[in-house]
Amino acid sequence: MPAVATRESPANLLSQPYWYRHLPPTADVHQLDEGLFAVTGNAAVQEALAHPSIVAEHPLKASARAFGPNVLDADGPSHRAFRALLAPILSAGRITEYKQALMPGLIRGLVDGIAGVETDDFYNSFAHKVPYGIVCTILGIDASLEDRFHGLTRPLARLLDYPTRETDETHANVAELLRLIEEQRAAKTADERSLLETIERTRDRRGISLTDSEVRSTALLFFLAGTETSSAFITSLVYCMGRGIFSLDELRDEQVRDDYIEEVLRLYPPVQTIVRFAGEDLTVQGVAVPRHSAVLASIAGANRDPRVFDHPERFQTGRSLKGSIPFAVGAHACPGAMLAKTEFSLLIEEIIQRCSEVVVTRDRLGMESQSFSHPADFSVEFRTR
Amino acid sequence: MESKIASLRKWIDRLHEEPLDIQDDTDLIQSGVVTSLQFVQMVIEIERLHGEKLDPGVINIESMRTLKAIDAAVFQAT
Repeated sequence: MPAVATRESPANLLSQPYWYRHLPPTADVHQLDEGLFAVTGNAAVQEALAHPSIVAEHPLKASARAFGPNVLDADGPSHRAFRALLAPILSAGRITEYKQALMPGLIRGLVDGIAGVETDDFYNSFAHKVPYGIVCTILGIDASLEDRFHGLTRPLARLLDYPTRETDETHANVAELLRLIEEQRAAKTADERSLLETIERTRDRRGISLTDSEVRSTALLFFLAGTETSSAFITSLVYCMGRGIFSLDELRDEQVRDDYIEEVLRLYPPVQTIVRFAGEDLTVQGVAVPRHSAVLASIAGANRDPRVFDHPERFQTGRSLKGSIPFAVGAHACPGAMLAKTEFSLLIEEIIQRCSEVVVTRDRLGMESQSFSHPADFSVEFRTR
Repeated sequence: MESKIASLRKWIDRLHEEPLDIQDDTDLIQSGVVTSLQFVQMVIEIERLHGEKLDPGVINIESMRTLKAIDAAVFQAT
């Protein structure tokens, strides 16, 4: 077994935005404590996330305890059953429909709010508006409940973060959100193409044996993942637009825009740290990891691995992104990646229509969160044309 | 020779710089005695003290919530 890689406590280490930088660069798999390992190199992270015996499910994990059985904390057949429920909602055809009918109005609404404005709290004041609008509609939640969902969901995100913050408030919020989802589901007011209705149909048609409680938990996790990761990433996107020394007009070209989004995703993946568990005694890159150990995979470290990316800290659009894994890899790779990228591309398009410049006017270089990571403590101004 | 549950109590104590007052029925998570990740690590320590692999069915929140529950579900279970 390797020596413990750092004298810092795991909680202190994980509270730092780029914690992988505090570990010896000569290794990719680090023992942080008894039963606690960190995986930081690109190949090692990919190996860990795709390893058949490194699993997401652990009954004592905070999210499993809070949400009950759900898509994030399941493996094997039950995980595939949960994913099958989400698949119809995230198909290419549906995304095209969202792109044409749902997203433009929401994005125009957001850009109406930011054009000509300087804000020192883009994340809390603006970044959530488009993702919450999209996911509420997809889920089938009444639009009037959007703000209520936002207020309840944001503190809840800490349950999925590292270090985890588990309080009476987070538990109360889970209970209230599950109640609201059940209320909406029972009222059957949602469009028949909504997630709640689609889940019901898919479950019945495919004979997927999930309880109502599991369906509600999956809906809530879909909501949380779809809204909070996108809110975080939109903040990173705007931050990079504001920090870049280039003409926004360059982003009118769709290919340039896509490359730009991919590079922001490489440097600022919203999910920077993923926790998994060793289902049996195993090795990662030759390092022994005992059964039951928690394995922290650093997506941030993988995406800035100098063996994979030249000048990994440099923002460089158009570079080869082979090895960039902002949406993770393996069975638990984000199913909403295409939906998210469509949303981000349309948002940039609308911002550059209306704004001549996006300028970061104050920057304390803060970063917050491991699971919904985003730049913090900066001001940004959207100067109109 | 100290009991396995006493050894586990010491293991939890060592997670903290200041001495703790952990009762048999203290909720280990709710009280903040162990963090979420430490709760997971604790399973390894319980298995080590137990001396054999835990039955997967016993690794659940109810069996692991308090020292009393752990003792009953693991160390005293036949």
